[in-house]
Amino acid sequence: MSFILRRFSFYLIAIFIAISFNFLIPRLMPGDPVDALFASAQGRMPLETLQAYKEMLGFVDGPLWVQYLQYIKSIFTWDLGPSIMLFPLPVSELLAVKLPWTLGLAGMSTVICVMIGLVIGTFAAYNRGGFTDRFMPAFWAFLGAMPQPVTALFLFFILALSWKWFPLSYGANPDLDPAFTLEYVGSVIHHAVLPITCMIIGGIGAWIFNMRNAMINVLGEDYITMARAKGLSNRRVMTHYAARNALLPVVTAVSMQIGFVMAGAIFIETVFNYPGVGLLLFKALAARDYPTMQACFLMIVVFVLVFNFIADLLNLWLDPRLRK
Amino acid sequence: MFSNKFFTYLRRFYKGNPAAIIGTFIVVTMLSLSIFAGAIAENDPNKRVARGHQPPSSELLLGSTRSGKDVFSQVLHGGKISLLVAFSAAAITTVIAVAVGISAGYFGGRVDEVLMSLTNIVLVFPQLPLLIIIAAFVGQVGPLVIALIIGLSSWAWGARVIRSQTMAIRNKEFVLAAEVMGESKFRIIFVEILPNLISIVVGGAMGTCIYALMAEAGLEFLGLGDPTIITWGTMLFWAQSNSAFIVGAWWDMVVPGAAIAIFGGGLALLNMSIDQVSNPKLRTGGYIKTWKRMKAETEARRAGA
Amino acid sequence: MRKLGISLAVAAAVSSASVASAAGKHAQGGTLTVPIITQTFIEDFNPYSGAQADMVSGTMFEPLWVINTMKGEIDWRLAESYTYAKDLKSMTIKLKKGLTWSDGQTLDADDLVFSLNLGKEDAKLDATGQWGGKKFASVEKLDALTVKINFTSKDSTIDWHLPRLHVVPEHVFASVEDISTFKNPNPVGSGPITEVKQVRDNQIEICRNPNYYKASEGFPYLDCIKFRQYTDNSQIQAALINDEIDWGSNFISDIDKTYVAASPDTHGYWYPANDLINVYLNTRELPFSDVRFRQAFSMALDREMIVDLAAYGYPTVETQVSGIGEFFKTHFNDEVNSKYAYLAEYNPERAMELLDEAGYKDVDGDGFVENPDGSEINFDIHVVNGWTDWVQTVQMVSEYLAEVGIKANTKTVDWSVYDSALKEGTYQASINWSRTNGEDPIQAYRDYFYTAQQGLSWHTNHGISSERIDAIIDEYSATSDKVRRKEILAELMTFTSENLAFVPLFSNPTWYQYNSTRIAGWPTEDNAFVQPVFYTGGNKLLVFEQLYAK
Repeated sequence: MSFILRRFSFYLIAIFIAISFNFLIPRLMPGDPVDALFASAQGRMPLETLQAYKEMLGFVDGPLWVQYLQYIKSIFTWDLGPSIMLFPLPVSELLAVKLPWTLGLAGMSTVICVMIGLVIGTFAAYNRGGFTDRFMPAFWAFLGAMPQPVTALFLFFILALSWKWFPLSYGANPDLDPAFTLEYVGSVIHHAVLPITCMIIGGIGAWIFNMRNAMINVLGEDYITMARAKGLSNRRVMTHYAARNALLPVVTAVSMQIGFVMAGAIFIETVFNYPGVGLLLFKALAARDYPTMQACFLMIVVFVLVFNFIADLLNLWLDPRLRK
Repeated sequence: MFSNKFFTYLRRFYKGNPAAIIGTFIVVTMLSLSIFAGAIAENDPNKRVARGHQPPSSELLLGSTRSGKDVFSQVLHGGKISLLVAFSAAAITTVIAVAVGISAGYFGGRVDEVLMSLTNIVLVFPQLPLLIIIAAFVGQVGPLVIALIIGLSSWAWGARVIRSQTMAIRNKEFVLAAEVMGESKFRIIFVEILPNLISIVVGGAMGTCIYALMAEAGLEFLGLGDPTIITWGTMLFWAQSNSAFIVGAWWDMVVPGAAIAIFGGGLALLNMSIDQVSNPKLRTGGYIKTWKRMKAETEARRAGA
Repeated sequence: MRKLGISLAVAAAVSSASVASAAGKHAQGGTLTVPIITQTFIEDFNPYSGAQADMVSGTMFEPLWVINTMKGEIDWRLAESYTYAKDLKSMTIKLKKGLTWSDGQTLDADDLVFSLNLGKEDAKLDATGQWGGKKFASVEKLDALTVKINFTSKDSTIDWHLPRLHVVPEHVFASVEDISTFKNPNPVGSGPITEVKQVRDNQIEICRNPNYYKASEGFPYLDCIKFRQYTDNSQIQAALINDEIDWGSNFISDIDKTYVAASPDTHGYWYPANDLINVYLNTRELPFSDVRFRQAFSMALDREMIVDLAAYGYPTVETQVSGIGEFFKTHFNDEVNSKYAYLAEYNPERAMELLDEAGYKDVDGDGFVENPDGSEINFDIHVVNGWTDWVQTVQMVSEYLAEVGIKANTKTVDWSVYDSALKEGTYQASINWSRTNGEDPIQAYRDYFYTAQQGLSWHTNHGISSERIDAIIDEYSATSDKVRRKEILAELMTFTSENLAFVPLFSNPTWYQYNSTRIAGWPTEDNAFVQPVFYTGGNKLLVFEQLYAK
């Protein structure tokens, strides 16, 4: 288990670096950031809250390292400060509401991408030189290179605004109470179709390509030839030998992708008014709401790291070589 | 002698590789269009030449923007800056990745550990949010700053790949021989190792190029760029601010989007074909079908005989 | 618009008949759906916390009265009348009889005194600004329905500010520690819509007040208001087109082609003029120190083109430079206007002549003129990054300036930079609003020139002021003589036109779109009973009161 411990400590270091980044950035900016903050709050923050925010950021009396410790303490006690745009709502509450939506979006689209990529990639690998093999990766390369905001707007305009097949905004119908009822869940799915489709369009090209290449590499390995020589059926070779080994680099690739996917969500959430962290970050940006921006950033980093860690664990499970 | 080898190499690269041909064609065409934008586009991209949101016509090949400026001219001139940013970012990234990757792979030991820790940390940071935060705090970022920020944050993956390749080559006989002969480390790296890494390095550079192009467009679309400079990204920004699709002026948004898509796609195709060259197993093309057919015939003959 | 007549004793007007509108009663029922731009809704119904003030001001907490500038009259709400003392050093407000809060308790002078006094200790709760402005001296209760406010000096303009007061129930707020952060989750209000039905992230629904003081007249016609969350204008545009919301107050691109065309019978809009947008110039620095340069600046601009292209033609072009805009057109002084109107006309040749006369010549042949002392002219016009129609406007302004040889740049900046540059007077040129949509035009001039406002307001720091101007502005507030007031305004307008400390461009439109698929009773150009400003509690209330379900 030293592997796990090593990876875990690595991620811990990464989180600390992110926190330190958040700590340093306001101090590196020209001028007094807290004044800028106060200005952007247009004087709406009461003095006590301003004090509290300063404390949270670590702007207390004392040398830099004391300030740093103060900041670490506030992060770990989940005191992320007040949000400016929605004063006096604390940032932690705001994030708690938004996070599940982005996770859902990123998670679902990644899962679907992987599944489709796997199927098409395997198919392409197996039918070398066929239409799928020659056409698919190239086609999706172009479609995927179309900037996400443009595809999102295009789908929004045609499918949501003009044809009215899908809703214009929100994660679910605002007239429904959030509950685990069929109606509400159905509404959530209905509202998620377009955003997820956009994310898939943007990312699937890479998946198909990677899966195909991974498969091809694996198919050329000796153990495949051996399996065939043993007389195993094609299907068994494909699933038990080829796919399982091809999955290894795929899992690594997934973990790389997560960060990209969570970030890409920002454009899609903006267009569809989807209540996720990406949209929050964007609006906090426009409002110069530094506490919210920093918290969003930290949140995204933490989740990326968490997923990377999960990927590492999966790798461990799939690849016995690492278990030594 | 050199030219012979070079052209033979090129010919091998392109023959039966439609992806490479198309990719190169696209990249070269768009590059030339941008470089010669001044000569090709007759209108000044910053001047108002028509009423707002005019559809494409014989005078305005790609229509006009909301403020009545020529979209065709803008997309050509804007390409200069967008492509410049993409290439600069790719250049910065490549230089850092090569430096870090080769050093880590070749020198090993402590150097490797330190560099790899650094690389892993940078690798794991989600780049777009990082870019957004930096851009937000800096205020408003022009294209050059964007190129710098992208360049400084995207080198990690390339470094890792280069490092593993370097480590693989490092123990090959010709390198060991050079060391024994007493060649300087510097020379070994540049003359023996680097040439063998060319395909990965180029592939990585292209990947970064695509990524930088899209990241720049993304940042400017969000309003973090300088809206008074014309690039493909700011064109998207203005199109969105003027609700291009909803008012029916689709060309305002589709043209810069398509420019990015086509150029990105072209680079991706080139990237794929380079992959195929370095790893012939990945090749694809009509000849595979022929091969399969021939193989089937042979087997049938064998079975029948 | 008839002039607002303010006399010493304003008689009690009949309670609700001052708003001429669709006659007769309408059946009750129906829900109004309205967009709010925010990240998420929270359970906060306190008008003093500012978080969701637009949801509660006016419709949940009624004001004392509403000054309806469009019709030139006062609509009495909680108050029945007010009277200035003869010496103009105090004012007596009389509340209506029989007012109740939504929980049944009586609304009387105690609540009014309590609400007025909130601003005394805490500047954040000073909704009218009169404690901070050192106008109020004290507040006393005369009887159950009468309150007297004592001023620190003679003032006949206090009644303009009182509509901004949020009258809140003493029996709820008196026990609250910190009112500015109090969320007020179970609100008790005086307006037509007070009962919170549901609170979700993306929707809040508030319904009818069971103890509304106007219920006997059938008000309100509608049962509930649904507030829906959006994050920007393009989403609201899409929602309007698809009939998801009834009332929009935001910028919509190409509205005729997108919104109206989708359903010409039920989709409409009306953009009456709002405040004046000016380019403020720093007259303390070259090249702006010479008034002829400023005049040339103004004449170089084709305002019609700018309005058409940069702003879709929605704003109203300004054709005079007296400092106020279309909003106050009943106060226009034709004499002054016709004398200076030429300064607002597009006349690049005259502009170039003026530059030449004033000594701004192109010495080095680069196509741009230099200062008379030979130094280069190259200044920045500030605009906030992201305000795209203004950015486009400023870009066009620089293009026009370039055509007469003046080199100017569009400088998009962060809000904090923009804000402090305007307040400290460190800008070279900057585009901004003006205080030209209040209750009376004097507020505009006060905001432009009153020396005590320098550093506090955005519009006072261009470097032009004078003691005489300060004096007559003070005189205006201290007198109620209509003739004298008119003279003072004329002098102010002349001063403004002569000095051209800022260049007027156009009047901002009041963004107002309505959807009559489900709801009728909307104010329109033909039925102009109030300025349809959603963001002002009183106006919103007056509009809402007339709406009914079809």
